[in-house]
Amino acid sequence: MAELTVEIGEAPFAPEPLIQAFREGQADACGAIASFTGVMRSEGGAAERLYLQHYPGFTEREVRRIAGTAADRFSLQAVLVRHRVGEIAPGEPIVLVATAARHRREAFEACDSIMDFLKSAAPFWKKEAGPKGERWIEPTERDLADRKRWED
Amino acid sequence: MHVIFLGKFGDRFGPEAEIETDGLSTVADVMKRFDEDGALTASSTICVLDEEVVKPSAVIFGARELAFLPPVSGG
Repeated sequence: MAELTVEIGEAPFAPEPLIQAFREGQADACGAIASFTGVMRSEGGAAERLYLQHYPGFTEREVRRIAGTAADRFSLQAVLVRHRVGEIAPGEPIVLVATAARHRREAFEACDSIMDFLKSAAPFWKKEAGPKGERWIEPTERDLADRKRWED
Repeated sequence: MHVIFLGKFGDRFGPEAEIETDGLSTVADVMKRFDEDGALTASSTICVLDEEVVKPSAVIFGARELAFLPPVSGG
């Protein structure tokens, strides 16, 4: 049974110490750690702030389900998902996903898969604010196509 | 009952509300109470009753919290 850690909160985080702690927490059988950090883009100044909303309790449960599904599918030893909510500035990390597996392929693919589901199916709502006002963001066609890779 | 509106629904109806449920029996009844132009009753709205996803026909008797979720943005 993989160890699943899901943390959602408003506090800014630095991914590097979290990845190091995640790696140091793995057993000797672990041969691969993969990680992905998503960072807010400024879109050339068009996006000055991102406001990320979640539904406490419900969102954590859904993210844990996404992580658990990937852990089963790719035989992971551990998964870490750290996700920001609240107000986020350009350049700040939004999400960190780290996966631990015996071999690299499983770690890479699991990390990729988890991000595709987080980007298109996780219960978060994003509002982008910039010089032209505010707008709610929905998943792009590419986000949906990326997720479909894992559903076939 | 505590009612929560997420995402763009929060802009429209306010982030949350406390309502008396006298005369209301289903999630759809609560929707109609707030909805004037069908924004909430769209088929893409996700209804969550006490943290369980339900259909609009679900009975609200005894429930503490109802949330209306628009299509997600993703993380």
